[in-house]
Amino acid sequence: MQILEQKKFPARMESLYPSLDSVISCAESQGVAPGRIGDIRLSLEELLVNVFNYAYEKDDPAAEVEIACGTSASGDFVIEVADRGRPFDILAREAPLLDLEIGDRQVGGLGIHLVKQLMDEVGYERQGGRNKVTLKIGKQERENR
Amino acid sequence: MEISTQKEKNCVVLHVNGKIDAVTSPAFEKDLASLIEKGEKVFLLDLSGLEYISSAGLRSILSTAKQLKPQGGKLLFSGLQGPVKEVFKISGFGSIFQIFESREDALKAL
Repeated sequence: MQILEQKKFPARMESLYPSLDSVISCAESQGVAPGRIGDIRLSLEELLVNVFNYAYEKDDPAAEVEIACGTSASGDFVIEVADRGRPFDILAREAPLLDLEIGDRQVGGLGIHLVKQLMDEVGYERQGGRNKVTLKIGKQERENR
Repeated sequence: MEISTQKEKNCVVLHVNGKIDAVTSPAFEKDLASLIEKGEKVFLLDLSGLEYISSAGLRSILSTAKQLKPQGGKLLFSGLQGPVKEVFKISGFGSIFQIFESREDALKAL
């Protein structure tokens, strides 16, 4: 992909809004449709909150997340989220059971499910001690919205 | 996020504005918890002013509903808009909760 912007943030909740704002303004500058910007905000929040809460030991001063955005050869908007925390393959997570009644439903696991539903493509790789999640999304509104 | 509260019959109506995300969901959950502590059991969440909800908000809703269930309490919803409606659908919340078009419809059903 052609990288347009790359930034590092401390991996904690205070970074959530600044990092979302940074990617959203990058997407807007690339002409991504408003509905899809909404999909990006939600998916990115889910990924970042997972990194903030689970990737690193609590209070690790080196806890960092690196976010890059750009455009793929096919013209899609692409976001990469990378951390050096414990390995976590979001693609290996099973989908939560959605039709159970309230008492039986699991409280967790919905975030990744939302990401997979809202993005056009989700990739994961573990390389050189890094988790890297790649999100791909078309710039036009979805037809089924 | 802003929440305003109003009592209608035996039901607490919460009008939630803005965003329920990982930053604001603890306050949202705490508001509900303190009402439950005061003995409230039936809640209508009027989400007509809610523009965004992430899984952190869904988690707060589900854990509150789980807490209410054994006490015979429940959560109802009304006024879901665009992205919030879609997130409810994708997460299956549309089928486990009672969701109404308007606040009036929800109150009539009580």
